[in-house]
Amino acid sequence: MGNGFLARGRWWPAVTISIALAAISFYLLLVLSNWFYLGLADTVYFFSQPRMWQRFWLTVWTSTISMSLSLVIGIPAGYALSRFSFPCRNLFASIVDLPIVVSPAVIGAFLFGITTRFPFDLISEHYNIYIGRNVYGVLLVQFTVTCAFCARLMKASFDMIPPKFELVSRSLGASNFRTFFKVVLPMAKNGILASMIVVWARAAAEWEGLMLFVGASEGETDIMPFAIYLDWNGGMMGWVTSMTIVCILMAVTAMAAMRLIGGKSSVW
Amino acid sequence: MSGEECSRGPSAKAASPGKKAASDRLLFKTFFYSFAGFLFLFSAYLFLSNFDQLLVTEAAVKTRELTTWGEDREILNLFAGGFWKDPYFWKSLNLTLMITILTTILASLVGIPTAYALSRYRIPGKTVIEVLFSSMLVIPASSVGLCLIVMFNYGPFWHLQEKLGFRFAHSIFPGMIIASFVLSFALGLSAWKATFDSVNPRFEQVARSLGSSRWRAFRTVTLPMAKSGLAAGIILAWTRAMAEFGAVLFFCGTFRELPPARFSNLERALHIDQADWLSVAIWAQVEYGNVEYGFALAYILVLIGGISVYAMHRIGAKGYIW
Amino acid sequence: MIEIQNLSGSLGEFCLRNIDLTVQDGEYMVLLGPTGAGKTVLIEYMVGMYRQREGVILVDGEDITPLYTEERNIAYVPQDYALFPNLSVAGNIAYGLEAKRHPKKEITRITEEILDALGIGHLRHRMPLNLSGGEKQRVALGRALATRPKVVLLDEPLSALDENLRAQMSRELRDLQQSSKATFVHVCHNFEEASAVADRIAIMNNGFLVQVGTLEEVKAQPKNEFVARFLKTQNIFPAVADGTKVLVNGIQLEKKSSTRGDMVMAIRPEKLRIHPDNEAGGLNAFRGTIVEAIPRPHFIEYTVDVGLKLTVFQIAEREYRVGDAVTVQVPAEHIALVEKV
Repeated sequence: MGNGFLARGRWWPAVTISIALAAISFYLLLVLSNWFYLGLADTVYFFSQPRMWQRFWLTVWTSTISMSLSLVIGIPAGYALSRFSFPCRNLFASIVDLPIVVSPAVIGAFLFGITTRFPFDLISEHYNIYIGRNVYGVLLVQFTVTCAFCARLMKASFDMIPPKFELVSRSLGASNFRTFFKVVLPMAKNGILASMIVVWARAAAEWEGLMLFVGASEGETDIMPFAIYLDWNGGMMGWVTSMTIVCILMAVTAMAAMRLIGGKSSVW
Repeated sequence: MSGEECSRGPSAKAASPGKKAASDRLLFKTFFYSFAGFLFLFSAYLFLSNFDQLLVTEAAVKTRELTTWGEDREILNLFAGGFWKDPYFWKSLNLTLMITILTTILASLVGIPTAYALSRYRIPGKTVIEVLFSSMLVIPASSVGLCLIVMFNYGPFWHLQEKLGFRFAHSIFPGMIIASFVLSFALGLSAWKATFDSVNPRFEQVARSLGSSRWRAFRTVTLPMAKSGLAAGIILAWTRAMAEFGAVLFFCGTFRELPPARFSNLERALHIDQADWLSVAIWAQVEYGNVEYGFALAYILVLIGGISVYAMHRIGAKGYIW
Repeated sequence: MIEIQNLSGSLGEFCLRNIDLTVQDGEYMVLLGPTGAGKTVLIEYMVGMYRQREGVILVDGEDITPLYTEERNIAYVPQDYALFPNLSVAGNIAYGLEAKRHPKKEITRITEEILDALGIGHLRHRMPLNLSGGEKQRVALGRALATRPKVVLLDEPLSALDENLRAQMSRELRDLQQSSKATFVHVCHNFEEASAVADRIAIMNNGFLVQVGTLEEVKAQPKNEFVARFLKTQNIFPAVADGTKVLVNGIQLEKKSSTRGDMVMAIRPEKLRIHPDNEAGGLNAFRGTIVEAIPRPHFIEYTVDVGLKLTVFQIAEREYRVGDAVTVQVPAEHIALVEKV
């Protein structure tokens, strides 16, 4: 110890590892604090309530729908962002990325402004689908936030495939579409699956936009993260903590599944 | 030169691309560009079309007749809610920038060594740790805020703050820093760890075999190689801190209506008393009916976010996005 | 027949300058040159990954520049083969046929033929990920040949293989080319590899095509000092030529052809002969001592000091030791005088 410890730089691993351990324990404590607070008996009680599961399934199906919509847009858009080059690419990509980098509260406010305008007013007029304080509003918020996110993740997945494979495929006489569906898409399968899970989890975690744009109606728009806020304002601490536990479990399961499939954290 | 080419000319009959291949190419490009274009147009439309929200409408003026008094009303009826005339805006901007910068510094000081340790040393349960940190990015902000509240107000930290004599929750220092730190750190960590993963540890082993200490090997070999990636991570952490909303709202709430006595002398000296986190201020103003003001703040956040994401694209921080 | 005429263009730091090259049908052409010579860029232009800035590429008299990759009928085998990991070996081979919409029966027939011809029938249902290097290469070649392309472009096909396999695979490449009668263009940076397979060699450096010819031609008369060095001609000395006389470092040699001026003399080490000191004499015989003797697998590499340090490869009919006095015979017809670089 002492002199040799300092002089030979051994303090460096010791310091980094202890900082890492401190950070890890902070986050562990953060995630586990609800369990400590709630206790086992109450957890079982709240988990057996139908209100909990009703909200859980609402969260699951809304985020599944918005994930599917995002994938439909995100896979081709991600491929375009990954492969094609065009002038002002950085500017273009920055604008595409904007919905994910600005505060979700801003998105909520802007969606609030946009839904009275051009395409949306026509939809509500002709098809009698009002997008706003109902479940369509929830889907719109989730879609807005996850769509660009999905394209970004897909771009990362496609970036991992060397363009050489496409060149070989085309040199063998395959058309562009054939190359995409027979070579690129199967090769990106794992990346796409992993990103799908992340996109789903991100959609299921959306709250801020809902707060500004959709507003509460019990059993219709209160997906779990939103319900946490509503019940917190109602002072229902038991509900709040038990729902937080469910949200954390969903997030951790999703990320563990993503890792299992072979997604990388560098996708972030 | 051109003469040569001319003499070759007649022998070289140019093959014309088949109609099928050309139309296939065109269709392919159009197909993929249209989806990317949809995203672009959607985003651009979302952000540009709301510009008219900054203009004051008749209805807003009428409502304000009932809700607001005196000079406030005069200011709020200006374009964009006259935000530049409101000390609350300047204090909020000041507060947000100050706290995000402090948070970013703190997150880098903690995060870069942590990322290095996670990338280089054998730590048991590494997969669990990585899942923990990456799942922080998909845990709802409301859950994060609530976890913080439960942890500091209902857990062992309650007794600690009783003893220390200040409160973690509902305070600027350290409450806001903690709230914006949680997610900003988690995101920065992922970028920094990916950066260190991409630097081959062999360089450091060589440096150490030549007799330099572990710290020196890190400082003189790995750090310069990881520089741009670390910078991108710092920008990312700052951008995420700027975009923070839920955790701050839950953990700190709003400060505008609090009595001046609640703020310490330091906070008053820094001009951050009776001010709000910018994105929380947007929410508060929109809920309050001052839509123009709220959208003005929102546009400022969009501008800041746009500049930093453009900077990240220029640096070439690939794939780091939450 | 492929004719590349006056091709110029640049990609990043690589560039090509006024390349003129003709490859005959059924020929095995090797593009040889050091790293960064522009060989890969040239085949990327040929396959259509990028468009050249200037010049044309003619296949059978037709300019293919405006064609897309998928219309060119030029098969490309990249360095690490790029086998499609989601398809089996048979699927990989059948890929091009399916893309060109051949009838199902024909696809199976051709695939079977190719699997048999390459001796990889037993691998039919395996996935490419867990094949060995040689197997991967065979599959990649089979995939390229299945569509009967006009040209097969091979980008450093042997560099991913280990030493022993390389010799075997280069023989197989050669056999395959002869049996399929396809035109091969093979890129490599290794002279031995090139000499094992090539009909003709095109030597590139720094974006220029320096010399084209058969192996014997380029070995016997390299275009300049760079080519001589690249082809591992060890005996390279600055020389002054005056008619048929060459003056090198105070030593005068006789040669067959006549040139004048400051040049570089290059003599291949296997063309020199060492005789016992008392035996030989006559034209271009120099007396000296053996400085170094290194045994190689098939010959002994001697360094003889005759005023110049000459390297000689000689089959071990009689062994000389370091310090022995010998005579070195320099055949006048094998003295090449080339330009300095």
